Amino acid sequence: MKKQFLVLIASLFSFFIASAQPFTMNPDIVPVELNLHPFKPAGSEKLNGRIGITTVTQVKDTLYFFVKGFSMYSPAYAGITMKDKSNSADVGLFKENWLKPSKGGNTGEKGVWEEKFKTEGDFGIRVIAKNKPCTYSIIVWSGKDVDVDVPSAFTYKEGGASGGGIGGFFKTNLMYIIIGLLVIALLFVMLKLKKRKS
Amino acid sequence: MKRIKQSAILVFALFFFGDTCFSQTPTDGMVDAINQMGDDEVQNIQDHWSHLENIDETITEGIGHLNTALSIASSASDLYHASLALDNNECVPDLSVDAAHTMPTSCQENGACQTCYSGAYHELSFIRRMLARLHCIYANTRNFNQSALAFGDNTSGIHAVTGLSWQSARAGIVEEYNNFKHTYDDKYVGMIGTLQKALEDIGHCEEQFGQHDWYQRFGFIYFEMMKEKYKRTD
Repeated sequence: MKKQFLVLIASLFSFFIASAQPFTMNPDIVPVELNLHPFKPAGSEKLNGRIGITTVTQVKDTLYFFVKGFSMYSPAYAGITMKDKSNSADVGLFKENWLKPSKGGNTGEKGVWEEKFKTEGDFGIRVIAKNKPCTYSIIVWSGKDVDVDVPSAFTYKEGGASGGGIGGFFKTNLMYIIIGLLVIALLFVMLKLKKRKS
Repeated sequence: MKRIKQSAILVFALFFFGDTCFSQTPTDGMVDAINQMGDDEVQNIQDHWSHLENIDETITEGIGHLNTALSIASSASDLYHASLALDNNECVPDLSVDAAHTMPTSCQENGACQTCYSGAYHELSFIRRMLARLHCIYANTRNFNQSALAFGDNTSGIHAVTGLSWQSARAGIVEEYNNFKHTYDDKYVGMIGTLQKALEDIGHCEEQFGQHDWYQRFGFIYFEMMKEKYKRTD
């Protein structure tokens, strides 16, 4: 059943990504799709998931990329590492369109820009190089779906049976059973006493 | 002999790491060179995880940063919980339960009744997670389409030719969104059916261990509440 639903969600998701990548009407923006591949490095379970590893030598001012296939229930990471640390690039992650970045920054003196986040579907990456040509790597990673805790929708009701069927019946009606047994015992004693007298 | 040995080692090394050290597409300074690793190359990296020195140093460094970023969290789950949504307007699944919307149960956490309830509870939690995700996919798609249409409507008027091509693109977006709505409705019906079944299963357990007519008295109200919560309203 679970698998069936994952397929259901996946099919909806694939429909959703048919319109993937941030919206634009600018014909000059032609984003390159970065593909994710299954990733399971030995001894690093935390890294299990899917990864996209790309090296770029950029000669244009700006390059656009997009990645799809993310789940809101899994952690995600995107990182840009410059080959030449003296060079830098402005990096932006975009969701709905290419106008306003959802997250962004500069690779800075260390030559690295990275971000951890969670998202559903796809997102775009824009890299603006300061000096060209500019060589860097793009690492995009999506972890496995996390078993997110779902708060209980139940409140324990005192007095309810927590044992078994017959056990539950006895527990609920314990008082009546005791009274009944006492009455029977009393009648039995009275009968015995009556017999002795006669 | 020594030379043969050296060349054998070289051939072996090339064969072994041939996939990993993929060649860069030569750039003449006019075209961007973009090289993506394929399945085999990624497989090679994970197979030689502790010996990444033969791979392009920018990649090794990048992977090192990923490793460091993840090592701060004790597990992928911790990392997930510490992360924020990429966009501030992005829908994040809301799994919270209002105290007024809880259902009574006669089964305590470690009671013997758990064997009956656990399967149904698990199914209910799973479907609640899936419904919340479905709802978010829908909300995100709706926002995406609305902002795309608004953006196109506002900018297409600048030029007559752009205006004409926008009208056809607009029709495509609207049609795609309408198809998406139907897809949502189909998935919604399937998931709501599973939710009902999970609640009925809990009702059967209650019949055995707790209250009679539990589904009719409590489960049904919760079911109707969830049905309304995730129903598409536009």
